[in-house]
Amino acid sequence: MFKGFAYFLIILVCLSFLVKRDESSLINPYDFKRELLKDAIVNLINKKREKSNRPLIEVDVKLDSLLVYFHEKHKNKDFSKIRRKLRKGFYLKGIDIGFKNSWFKVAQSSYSTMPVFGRSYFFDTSCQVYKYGTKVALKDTLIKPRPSRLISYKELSKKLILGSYPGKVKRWITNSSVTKIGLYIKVNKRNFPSRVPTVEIMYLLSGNVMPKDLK
Amino acid sequence: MKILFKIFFVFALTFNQGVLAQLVKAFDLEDALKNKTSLRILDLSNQDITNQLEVLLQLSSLEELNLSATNLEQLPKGFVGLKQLRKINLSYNEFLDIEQVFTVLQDMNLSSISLEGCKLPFFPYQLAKINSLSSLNISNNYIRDLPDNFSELTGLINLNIAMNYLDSIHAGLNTLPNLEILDLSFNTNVFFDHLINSKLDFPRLQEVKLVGVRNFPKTLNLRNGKLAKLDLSETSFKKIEQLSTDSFKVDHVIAKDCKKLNYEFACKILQNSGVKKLEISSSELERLPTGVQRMKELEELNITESKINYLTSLNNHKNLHRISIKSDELSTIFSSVSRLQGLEYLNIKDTDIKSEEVVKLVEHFPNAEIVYDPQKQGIPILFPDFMKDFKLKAPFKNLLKPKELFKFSSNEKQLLTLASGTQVSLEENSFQSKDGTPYLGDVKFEVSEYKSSMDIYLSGLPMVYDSSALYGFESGGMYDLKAKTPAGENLALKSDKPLVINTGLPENRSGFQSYELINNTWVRNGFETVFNPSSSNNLLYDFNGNRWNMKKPSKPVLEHEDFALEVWQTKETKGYKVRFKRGSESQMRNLHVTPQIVSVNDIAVFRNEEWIVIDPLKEEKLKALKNASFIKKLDWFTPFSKKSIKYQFQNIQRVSIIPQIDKDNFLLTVVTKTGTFELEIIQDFSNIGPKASKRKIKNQWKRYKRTSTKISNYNKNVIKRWEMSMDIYQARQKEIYEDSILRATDPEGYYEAQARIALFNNYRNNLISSIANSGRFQFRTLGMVNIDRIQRDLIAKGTEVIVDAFDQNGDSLTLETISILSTNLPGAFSYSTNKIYMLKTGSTVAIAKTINGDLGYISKQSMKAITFNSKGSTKFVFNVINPDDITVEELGRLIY
Repeated sequence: MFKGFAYFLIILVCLSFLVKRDESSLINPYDFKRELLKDAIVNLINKKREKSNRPLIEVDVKLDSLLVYFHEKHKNKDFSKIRRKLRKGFYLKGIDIGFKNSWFKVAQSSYSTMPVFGRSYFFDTSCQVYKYGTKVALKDTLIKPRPSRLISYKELSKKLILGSYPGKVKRWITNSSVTKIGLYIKVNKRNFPSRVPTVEIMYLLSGNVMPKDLK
Repeated sequence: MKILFKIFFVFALTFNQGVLAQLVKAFDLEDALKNKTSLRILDLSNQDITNQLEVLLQLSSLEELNLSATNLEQLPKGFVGLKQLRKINLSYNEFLDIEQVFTVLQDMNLSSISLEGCKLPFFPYQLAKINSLSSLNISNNYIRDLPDNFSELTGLINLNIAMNYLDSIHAGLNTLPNLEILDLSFNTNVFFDHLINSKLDFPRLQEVKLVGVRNFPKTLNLRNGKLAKLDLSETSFKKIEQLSTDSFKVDHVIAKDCKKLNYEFACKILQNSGVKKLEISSSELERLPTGVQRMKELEELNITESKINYLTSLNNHKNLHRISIKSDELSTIFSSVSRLQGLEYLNIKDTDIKSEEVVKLVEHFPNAEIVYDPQKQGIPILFPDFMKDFKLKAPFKNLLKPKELFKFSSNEKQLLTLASGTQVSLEENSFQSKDGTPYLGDVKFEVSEYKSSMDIYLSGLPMVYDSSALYGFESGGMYDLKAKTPAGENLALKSDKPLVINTGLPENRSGFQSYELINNTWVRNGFETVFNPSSSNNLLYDFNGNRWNMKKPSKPVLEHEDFALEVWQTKETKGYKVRFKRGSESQMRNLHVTPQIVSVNDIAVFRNEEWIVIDPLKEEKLKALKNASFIKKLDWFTPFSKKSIKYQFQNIQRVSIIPQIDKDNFLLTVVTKTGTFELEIIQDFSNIGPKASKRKIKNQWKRYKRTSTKISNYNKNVIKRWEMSMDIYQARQKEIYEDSILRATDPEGYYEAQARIALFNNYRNNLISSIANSGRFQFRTLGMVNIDRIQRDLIAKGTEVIVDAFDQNGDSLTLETISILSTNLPGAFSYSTNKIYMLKTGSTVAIAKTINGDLGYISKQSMKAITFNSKGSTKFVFNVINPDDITVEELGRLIY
């Protein structure tokens, strides 16, 4: 029994070398694409909804514009403050742009575009790739620096959505009454390219909560 | 197989005939009963059917029912069974039992009711119970005030309450949110300025008729949107003015015969109102008001009566395309209008403009319709002798107009109304058989009426009059009359009892005579014509003005619990929040009821909620609340508490909150006597999730429903009590009214009423005469008769043209007859030669019969494109069709 399983495992390991990671969906921190992240987030939410036969969530342009409006209005404020402003000003501004659904939630989240967590890295300008190690340490050695590990947009979207604040929002993502989402993505490029950019997102969920059998 | 096919063919033919015979509209009960299933419209006006009302219950598919002037008192009990019925006309039934009628009607889904001239001294409160009502005509009654539940008629689109006695204090008129047409004419003292305070009042109003009213509404400019029509005729105010400087917007203004109005000043006010159509008339108007010249958007100018002797230039009005002027002193117009490139219609019939200038105008505006008086400005036309050889023959038998059939007893006097409105009246015992013996039995009477040029052409009737010379006719109506016994024997009229035809004639009716066709020749029958513009005025004004001076019963009041809205502005968002309150400072009390007062406390379920105002028009609506006539008290600023405004509603009729599931919000509606306030609101769910939000709404709604059923059960009793007292009040008012008829104790009141009636009669007569001048023409014989006048068209004879006819394929066409029809001339001349006379007035079309019996026509547009050759022959390209393939209506549409 065990032998059979061991053989099977060996065959699986051998075959796994043949499977390659999808390089196109990996994030290049030097060239980050917001659209891909946006799609990845929506796909992530919808995949869960598909499984449980719930209506798919739609990206709403009006909600997007509402987020843009508040971010432009409070340029110098951080995300948590903007989130608070948005919570209070949603109805006023939302009505003006023709958005009248009564229930809404705002959430925010941030994550690095490259998971380096404590390890040193540098940006190799010759091939425009981030590599492990420091430039000074590798100056007089023959060791070739290894390119740092990259994550895909899908992974990033998971990290962002599951780690968003406030945590309650996570469970409403799959709620069938929530039908619309608005996304705002900000790429923080402080000390770029020597430092990897971080991604901050804010999203608005909204839906019709009026019970249909009210009469 | 062949036999089977034949059987099928015969079956199909009979079935088809059966279907064709089904009537949709009927004018008597006999026809109606024959077509029970198909009948949709039944007109029983002016017939006495009081004993046959039960028969109506069989007409299950009836949609419109006209029972005007039928001496109706009560409706049959099973009337509710007519579930398709939408429109009912009960006008001019003086003895109507309102209580009984409305107990029947309130359960029906009616959209239109007419109670015109029913001599009602009150507005029946029961009308407000018919929720589906969109059109109401209650004009020409004696209504002084409106019931408390009038504002429940929120679905009303068309309200005609003209010729009553409404005034400003008792009117109680609501700013009905769906009202489009409001007719308040001849309610002399009516005043509704106080109802218009903001842009949101009367939001859909399109047309206001204020004929004969004393006060011009000074707040019209405060409401939003443009009025489509404003009728100010016969009014007695001096100025059109607004309280603020802005001018109100209106498309069409009618201001005829306003005795005190300064037209110069009025047009100055209207110059910024974007007026597109202006109709004015005053016998004292000597020149065109200067304001008219500044109305840049003017498209139509109509001056029906004036003393204008010189018309200032209208050439700067680029959009002006229709002008109509009546002034005996105006002798020239050409230079004033010569540069109007878009001119389509110019009516100078009632002016002193000479025939030379008319010719100049016709040539200068080849595409415009120039209307002038041919009797005054033209000379009789002599027609060529070859047209004398005439044989009465319809060109296409299948296109002959169907006959209208009447059955009656010859013992009784008859007034027959044709489909066009023409009336044929016969004396009793007016028939005799051919040998001269009087006939007293039943008569089958057949009438065909030919009024339009197309009808006349298709009838094949001659249009030439052979007197000292050959003249052409212009028709006011041609008739084919036949009377038979039920056995089919022809009857004739007795010489001492002529038949009378009363028909509408063109505006200028001079010169019309009655002719009879004898041996294919028209012979004038020598009867004098009687013009009776007042004949259709069958309104009875026999009440005396004194009755209102008697002690009036006090009107029962339907009181409601107080309700207020507390509104405050939120700091961060500059949005608004509201909370429901009682009239006093205290909170609403759940399930509290006060005796004898309608409770609105069901809404107290939501008393603790702070609602967010999400109405798109919230700023305007809340601003309007400040000035609204139904708001009692405003707390502007309470210095030691929050900054909030409290609006207490006055004279509340109904407060409701309705969930709008599609919009995901609630609609708060407060209906008061003088206005309706609506606001879209939602609850704040920013702290709870979607599931909890749904649960909260559901639970709240359950509680609300439970409470509202309890409260509505209580309210039912209060309303029932009010209705009972209203019944007594209405009965008392009726009594007072009936007493007043019997006793004329107040001559002053009587004369005042008479003056008002005379004012109305004058207006109505003018109205009738401008629509249809009716004239009574008498005839001694049956058969072909006509009401025509000799054509004196200035240029109708026009150019002599030799026709070279082709069909659409370019092949040469041989014609049997050809006729030129004009939109301007009711008449048709059939030429059997290829030499014809082209009319120049109006739009013309050609219609012909080919030698093969086919029908050829040239449309209006194609006729315009033809270039006439005065020397050689002109090419006419006809569209040739088989006459069997077309109906008269289709032909009319193709040609005109």
